[in-house]
Amino acid sequence: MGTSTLGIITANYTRKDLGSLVDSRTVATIPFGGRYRLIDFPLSNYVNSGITTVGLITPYYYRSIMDHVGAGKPWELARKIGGLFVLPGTVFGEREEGARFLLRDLIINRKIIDRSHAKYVLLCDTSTVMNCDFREFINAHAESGCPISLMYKNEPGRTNRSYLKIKKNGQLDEIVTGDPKAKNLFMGCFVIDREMLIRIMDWYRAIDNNDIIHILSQNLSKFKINTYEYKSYAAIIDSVSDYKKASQELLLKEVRQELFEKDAQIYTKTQDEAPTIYRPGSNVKKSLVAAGCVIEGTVENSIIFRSTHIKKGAIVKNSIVMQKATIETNAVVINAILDKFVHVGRKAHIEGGDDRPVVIGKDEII
Amino acid sequence: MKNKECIAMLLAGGQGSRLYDLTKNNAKPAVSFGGKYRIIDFSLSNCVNSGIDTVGVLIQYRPMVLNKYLGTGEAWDLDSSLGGVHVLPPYATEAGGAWYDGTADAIYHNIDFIDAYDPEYVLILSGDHLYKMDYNQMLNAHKAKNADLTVSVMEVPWEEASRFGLMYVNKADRITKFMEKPANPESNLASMGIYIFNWKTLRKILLEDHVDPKSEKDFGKNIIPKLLKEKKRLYAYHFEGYWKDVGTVDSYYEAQMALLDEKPEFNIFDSNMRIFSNSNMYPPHKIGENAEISDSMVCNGSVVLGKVDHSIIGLGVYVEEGAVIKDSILLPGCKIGKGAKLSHVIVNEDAVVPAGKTLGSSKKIDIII
Repeated sequence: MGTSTLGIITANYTRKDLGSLVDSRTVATIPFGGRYRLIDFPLSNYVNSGITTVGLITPYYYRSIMDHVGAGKPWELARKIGGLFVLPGTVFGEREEGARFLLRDLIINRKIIDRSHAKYVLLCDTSTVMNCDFREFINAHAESGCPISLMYKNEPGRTNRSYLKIKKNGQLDEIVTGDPKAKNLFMGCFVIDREMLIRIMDWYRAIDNNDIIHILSQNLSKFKINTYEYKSYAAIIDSVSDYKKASQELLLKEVRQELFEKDAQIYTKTQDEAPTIYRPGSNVKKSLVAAGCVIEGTVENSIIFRSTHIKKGAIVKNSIVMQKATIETNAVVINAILDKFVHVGRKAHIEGGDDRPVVIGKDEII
Repeated sequence: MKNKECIAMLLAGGQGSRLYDLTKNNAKPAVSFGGKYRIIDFSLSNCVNSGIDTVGVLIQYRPMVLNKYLGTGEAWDLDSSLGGVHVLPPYATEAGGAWYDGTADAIYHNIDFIDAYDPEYVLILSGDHLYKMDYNQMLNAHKAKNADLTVSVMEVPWEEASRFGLMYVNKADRITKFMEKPANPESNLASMGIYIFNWKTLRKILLEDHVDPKSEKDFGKNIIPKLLKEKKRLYAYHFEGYWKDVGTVDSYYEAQMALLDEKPEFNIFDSNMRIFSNSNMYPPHKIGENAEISDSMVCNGSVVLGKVDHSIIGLGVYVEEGAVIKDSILLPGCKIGKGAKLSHVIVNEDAVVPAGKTLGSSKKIDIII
């Protein structure tokens, strides 16, 4: 299976609704779940599915992504046979809101697709948090006899996303956007026969500023497209509120089991932090805490990233505190997302609404 | 092969029998420490932090966990084609096979290995001590004294001195006499089991010692006295700082509990000279809705739903609702059932404590397997 599928991660896109979370980074490197970044999920999914040749299409501003991914060692993708291929993206990518599978991003990297011996190419964006065995998807694709298969989940209500209308035989009828009744949400993950992908790159070269999914939706009569429903846990992160919701879902036992307690693990760059210390008088409930923290205050219903210091009398509730933040004595942080290295001063008070969290940008001092 | 100035030989074959059940299936260097580490991490990290990139690890007793843990050495940045970690087990030759018979014998059997790197100096280490040390400073002292052998020593309280191998030195720190655990000590400079040898000197004495039928083939008992007799230049290097050999269950327990001090003597939290470890890829730990946690250390992958006070929770530990953990150390992978009450115990790796069980007393540290 591994050698029969080439993986391609498209990271050359951004999302305005993620606000300052994407100020100095791409969607792929948004920190998530205490020690991960969003790209860890697709990378781990590929490797856990035996797909060990993975191309990564990077955005123009690739510092954060290269810092994290390096040569692919944590995912065991630094190897002689296959491994990680870091690919350039077009400058166009970060400007085109929502386009995640730009045809020109593939065309400028078509050498990797041309030279591959794989039968299938599995493309995936970096906005979905899931622990997915792609083998089932690829098997279903192979059995369908269709050259293309799109993955979807049942989740109505995302008006700026594509939804799939499906025929009785499971094949794609139509791709729609902005339909509030539509429920089969396209998950930014699809598998395509490599030969078909090459043909699409040739046929539509003239309109290469389009997203492949858009091209398919405009030319449905030309393609037989299968659909595949993903039924396990998957969270799509398009906005700050998506981010907060998905983060807090990690506190649910079922979600943790689906993401982190399967045989297939989610891998990430390790930092060799010491264990976290809870000082006498600390009061922590229902929270996820990464390594290297010192907790002296109160933490509830929150996600605390590595090397965070929460001092005496400080209160953190319903919040996400990214790595190396410091919350000084008697400060209060409620319904907030604090980016990396944020410093909250003594007695400072930060409070957002339940569904409208305050986001404090990287390195800010409050 | 490109020659190295100094390579390290790490003695990791010891059983550590006074740790009882902790070393039943596991060599002492591979015993868990501080929640996410294994004891060997400290000497390996010292090597890397001192710029020593070639380490031979001599194994013998129950090496499975240790071997798997070392892997390619990647976790310590020691996966290098020009050096790196080499696991060196006893081996057979055309004359038959034999176990490593003493610390010096283990090095003797790996003369070929050391020769291949043709080093000027060889650093001999134990894989079962807790300390942070820059071996470069010791090597500089060794060179400055033009020594044949430098032994790292530290002052110990006089009343405890008779438990150690003691070095007697003159004003210039030249070693004049060595006594292994003397009843009436006249020195309180204890050997830390860390040696820097000129390889030529060590090589020669190992060959001689090997054919000496009376020798126990031990650095302390045989090699050092022989070098002293030959009037070689042996010097003491004074180390100040934390150093501990956790030989007994009590010292193993106390050394870990001391990590919970506000300013721990053995500072593993300091980012200066980081301690590297090969811990599995666990998610952050979860503290439950009804949990209470205080004065404790918790590692990745754990789930704490009960009450934890003054304890160390290792990697991937599960503490069920209603469980009460006090003054205890839960080693990686263990599970504590609902309502279990533990105090002053060490729960071994992957052990399961059934629901409702009460274990431990404040008189003595028990190991739960």
